This record gives sequence, C-alpha cells and structure tokens, in this order.
Amino acid sequence: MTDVISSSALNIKGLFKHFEGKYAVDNLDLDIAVGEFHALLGPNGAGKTTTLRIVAGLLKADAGQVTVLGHNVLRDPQVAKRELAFLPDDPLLYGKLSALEYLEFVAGLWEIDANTAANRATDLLKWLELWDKADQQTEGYSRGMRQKLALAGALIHQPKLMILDEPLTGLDAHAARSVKDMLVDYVKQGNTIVLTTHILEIAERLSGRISIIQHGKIAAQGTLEELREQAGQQGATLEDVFLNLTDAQASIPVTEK
Amino acid sequence: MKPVVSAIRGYFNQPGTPQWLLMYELKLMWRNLGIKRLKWMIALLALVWIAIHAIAGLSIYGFVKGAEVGMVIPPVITQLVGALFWVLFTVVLSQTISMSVNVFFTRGDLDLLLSSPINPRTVLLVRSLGIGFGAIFLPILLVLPFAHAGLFFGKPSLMSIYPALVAMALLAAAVGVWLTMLLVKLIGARRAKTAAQVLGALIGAAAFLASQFHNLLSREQRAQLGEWIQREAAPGGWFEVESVLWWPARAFLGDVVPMLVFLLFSIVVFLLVVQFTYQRFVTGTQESSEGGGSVGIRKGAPRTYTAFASGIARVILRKEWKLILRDPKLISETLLQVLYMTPFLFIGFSSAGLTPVFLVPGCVMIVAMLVGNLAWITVAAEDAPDLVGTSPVALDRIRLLKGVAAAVPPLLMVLPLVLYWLATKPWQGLVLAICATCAAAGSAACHVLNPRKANRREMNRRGQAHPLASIVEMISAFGWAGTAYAMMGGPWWVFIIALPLAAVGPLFSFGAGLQARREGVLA
Repeated sequence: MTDVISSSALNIKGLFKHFEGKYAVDNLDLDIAVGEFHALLGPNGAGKTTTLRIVAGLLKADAGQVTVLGHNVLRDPQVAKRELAFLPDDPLLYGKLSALEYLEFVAGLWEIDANTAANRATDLLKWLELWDKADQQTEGYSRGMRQKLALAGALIHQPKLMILDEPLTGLDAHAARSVKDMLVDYVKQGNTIVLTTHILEIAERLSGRISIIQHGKIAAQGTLEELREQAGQQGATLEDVFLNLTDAQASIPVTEK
Repeated sequence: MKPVVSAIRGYFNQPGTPQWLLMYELKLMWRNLGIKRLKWMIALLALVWIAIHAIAGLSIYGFVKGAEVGMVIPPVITQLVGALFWVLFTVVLSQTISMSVNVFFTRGDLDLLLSSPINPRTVLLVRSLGIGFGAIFLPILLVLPFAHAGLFFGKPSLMSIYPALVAMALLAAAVGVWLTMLLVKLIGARRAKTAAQVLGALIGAAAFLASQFHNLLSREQRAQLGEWIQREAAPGGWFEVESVLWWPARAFLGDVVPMLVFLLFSIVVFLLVVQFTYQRFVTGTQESSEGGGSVGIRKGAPRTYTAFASGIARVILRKEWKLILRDPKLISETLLQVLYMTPFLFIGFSSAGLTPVFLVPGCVMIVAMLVGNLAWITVAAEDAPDLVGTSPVALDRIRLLKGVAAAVPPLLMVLPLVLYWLATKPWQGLVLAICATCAAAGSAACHVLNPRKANRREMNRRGQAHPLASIVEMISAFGWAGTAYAMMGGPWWVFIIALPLAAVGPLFSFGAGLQARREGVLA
C-alpha cells in the first residue's frame, strides 16, 4: 500500500452515471478537504445517493474520476475503501447475528485484529447504549437500535472519511444529540464527513460547507453565508436558501442521454 | 341483464363488507402468483385445461356408452377416486398451511386491517376463505373438467363436483388455519412460521414418500401389504366402499347425500375453526409484529466478549455458518430436499446385489444440490451487500470464501459414509470422496463466478429468477453423478458424456459473470 498525502478527502471530477437513458449524475465535480464536515443536499432524485454509491464503490460510473484521500476508487478500490466508511440510509444488518457478532464480522472485513476489534466493539456499544442488548439477535431491534448498530459498524475501523446517508433517521432525540456530538468530535480529530440529509436544520448546525445537488450537478456550493449571497437572501435560513436555489434550478431540463 | 350485473358489482363493491374484503384478498393472491404478466403461462394453462377436458370427455363418454342403463359405479372406482381425493387433499392442505403462514405472518398488511374498524373476526373469516379458494387451484385444473364433460355426455350428476370442491376448500382451509394457529399457541408466532412451513412441506410430501415406501420392502413384504389392502377393501374392512372415508369421493361422483353431508360438515368445521382460533389469531398477529417474543434474547448484560476472530477467512466462514445454522427454515427445506431424494438412492437395489446402483451417484447429486442452495444463500442472498461491497477486501476473495462456506457442510454430511466405505469398500469410498468434492466445487463455482443479488426468502423460487443459470447448475450436478455412476462400473460411454456435462455449469457461469461485470450489473 502506498502512502498518498492529499489535502482532499474526496475529489470527484467529471462524474457521469445514467440509468435508462437519463443522467442521474451529469458531469459532477466536487472537492471536499480533509477535516471538513460537508453536507450534500438536494431534492429527491437529484443524484445524491447515486454519487455516494459510486464513491463507496457500489456502483460503476460511466465516466469520471473519484479519489478518496488521494486513492483512485476505480483503479485502487481496496486501498481507497480502507479509509472509508459508508452508512446507507436504510442499513441492512444480519437479523440472525447479535450486535457483537455483527461488529466482529465488520471488523474482520477491514482486517482489524481480534482484540482491538473486541475492545472497540465494547466501547462503541456502551457509548451507543446497546451494551445491554449486545448478545441479542438484531432481528429484534427497533429501527433506531439498528441505525445505532450500523453506525457502530461504520466506526469500528476508525475511517478517515465517513459518508453518511441520512444518519439520524429513526433515532430518538437523546440518541440523535449524542450521535451529532460524536460526529462533531470526529471531525475535530481531523477526519472528514460527507452527510446527506433532508433535515436542513442538521446541515445548518453541523456542516462547514454545503453542496446543493440537482439534476445530477452541483447547483450551488459554499458556506451557509456564501449560499445566502448566491441566493441573494441575507440572513435567511438554509431552508429558504435551499428552496430558492433549487426552485431556480428546477426550470433547467433534465439532460437526456 | 345490466341491472343484475350492476347489482352484483354493487354488492361486492360495498367497502368494509366481508365480500368486499374477500375480493381484495383474491386480487392480492392473484397478483402474488405473478403470472399476470406471463401471458404464455396463462395460455399454457388454458391449453392444459382444454386437454384435460378432452380426456375427461372421452373417459365419461366411454364409461356411459359401455355401461348398462341404471348401472351403479363399481366399488373399486369409488375406492380409487377416494384414494385420489385424499392424495389431492394432502397437497391442498399443505398449500393452505403454507398460505396461512404467508397471509398471517409474512404479507405484513394485518396491522392495517386490524387497525381498521372491520371486525377482526371478519378479517380471519375472509383470510381463511381466501386461503381455501387460493389453494384449490390444482383440483380445479384437474377435476372440474369432469363436471363439464359429465354435463355434455349424460352424467349431469357430476356437477356435484362444484359443491364438493367448495367443501374441500373449506375443510382444507379450516384444518390448515387450525394447525397453524395451534403451532402459534404451542411455540409462539415466530417459531410457528418455520414449523408450519415444515409441517406443510411434510404433509405435501407424505403421499410421495408413502408411494416410495414399497421400494424399501422385500418381495414378500410387498405381497403381504397387497393382501392386507385387498382384505381391508372388501366388505367389513376398513376401506370398504361404504366407509365414511370414501364419502368425499362419493360427493365428487355425484351421490347427493354424501355431497350434502360433506358440504355441511366442511362449513361447520370451517366456522368452528374461525370461532375458536379468532383470539389466537389476534394475539399471534400482535406477537408477530412485536418480533415474536424472546427468541435469541439473553437476559442481563452480556459477558465481555473477547472471542472475536481474526483474519478474513475465519470471520467470513464463522459468519456464514452461524447464519446457516440459525435459519431453521433453510435447514428444514434443505433436509426436506434430502428426504425427497432418499427413495431414489435405493432404486435398483435388487438388480445390483448388495449395493444399490444409484447410491453413490445419488449421494453426489444430493451434495451438489445442497451446495448449490447454500452457495446461493451465502453468495447471492447476502443480507448486507453494501457493507461487503464497501469493505477493502476484494469481492472475488469474499465470494470464494462464501463458496467454501457453502461447500463444507454438505461434504461433512457425507464424510462418515466416505470414511466407512474407505474402510470397507475403498473404491466406493474414493469415488464418493472425489466426485462429491468436485460436484460441491462445481455447484459453488456456479454462484461464485456469476453472483446475482437475491433475497434469501426466495430460495424456493431461485430457479425462476435465473432459469438458465439453474439449469446449467443442474446439468453439472448430473454430470458429476454420471461420472460417479461410470466409475462405479456403469458403461464407459457414460463417462465420456458426463465429464463434459460437469464442466457446463462453471464454464457458463464464468462467461455470464464476465458479461455481467462488463455491463456493470456486478459492481
């Protein structure tokens, strides 16, 4: 494995992906610096999840280049994935495995040594208040508990870049607050988060920079202040800015293949 | 005519009524069959139905023409039809149990129905009716043509097949629902799901297994069995023509009194089952939506877990084997497959001395089939493909390990036999060891080389999603079984045909997998 020093945690250049004749991702460029908390916003069907799945190596792009911490996802996927954690919006667990067994498996996939993995699993489950149910098969878990366990799975190999697709869905207020605090701490330690959410308040409060994606392209990008300037709405909430920017973009027709 | 049609339509379109709910139920069942889009399937079924009508017409025409006026149906016909009725009934009953599991636990719309103002008793009544009428598809296909043929060829009494089929549907639904609810009561809703599936499959297989029983008997025992059946079929015996056992058959053959009794009996049993299982139905549904109680839950805080495995191979094998062992449905279906195959192993016992001709090839075939199923579960039906896909380990390596995880358990099943034969009949042991290992590798390779995403709940229907892949997998299994047959002393030309056949599955899968990767189907 070669050591690559990169100031970009995630760099996407000229990304294209089409489904059934329509471009879901259409010449998308995105650069996210190391240590950034970046929110990726967009209306339903804008291309957010498709983009993130390409970054995570779950979909093949038609064209374009994606690098994670300087490693090309297409050419060198194994090295790129080692630094990455991807948490989909509806993570699928193994119903017949307990929480500990699930974490053992995930740690094994990232080739973490067994003792380290066991200690990290214990800490994570205690922190996420799942320890009392750590031996219970996950098919009996609630939606929120499953979400917490998936998050523990994403954290067990201590990734440098985390891609989270709606990570707070299903969590109660208490759990949501503790996850938000953890994410902020995680970024403070020099790691990077890319997060998609429909709860704009979360993006407004947590993220440093925001990208708004529509019709498979970046429609606007910057800090909240910069987005307000682009929208010509000083002092407005992110919700107002988002609606303004996406309304303006909505009139642009979708590119046909 | 129009007012009548609109009155009927109005009757069934009244929202919230049992008849409205029944229409909704039947519509859902039809959609779940998935044949609406397959026009060729409907056309094929229509052709089969026409053919059965022709056969029914010819037989009734022949019977009526050859019979003297006023001749009664010979007792042996009643007894034969009776035996056929009970065989068909076991098949229908097995269907009703399997459908009960589906509509009560799997479909997931009971929360909606039970939260509506419709009386839960009505919901159960309609569900059970739907189960009954959904399950008699096969009898409708096979038996109803005789009613129509009877009408045209001078045997209108055969129209009693219509009410007899209704009685059969109600009785099978009643017994099926009762057995399922009994299991819910005894072992809880979640375990009942699996147990009911196994029970349904066993009942469905009962007639087949019973028919194969004679293969295991010696010539003298078979003769004794034949004599016993003849004795009991004669007047005064258990199976005499007047026996209550044959009343359903007499109902189908147009005997009015047995038909009315059968219909009335079935209606009463059906209503009693709805009445007495209603409470169990409500609690079972609640348990089911709660996650089914305490299975898999240990009380108290867990002990510190330090036995994590290191290394990708150990981690994947452990995970796959745990998931296989904890899936009772998979285990039961797998064991049932073995059970179905067992009678074939003993075919030819008498013609080849002490060793049945197909024993070794049969074992090879069973291993290949089981590995195919397990490899489909471990490779294609991965529950968390996103997690595995984002891991830094090469997918091909993970799939290979999953293939190994699938191949090992069936090989372990035949290991005692291999060891026993190596000690007693070394060549036989060697042939089984070589061919079973190759067959296991071949079946696993079919999935490792051409993995397709699937849902583990659909194992029974895996052949429908990718029929060609399943056919080539089966051809390879036959290839290895044929190789074993040739090595055990079969004709030499079998070897020449079988060995290339064994390579068909992996070669096809390799090609199809490459193509799928090129098209981006496999990330």
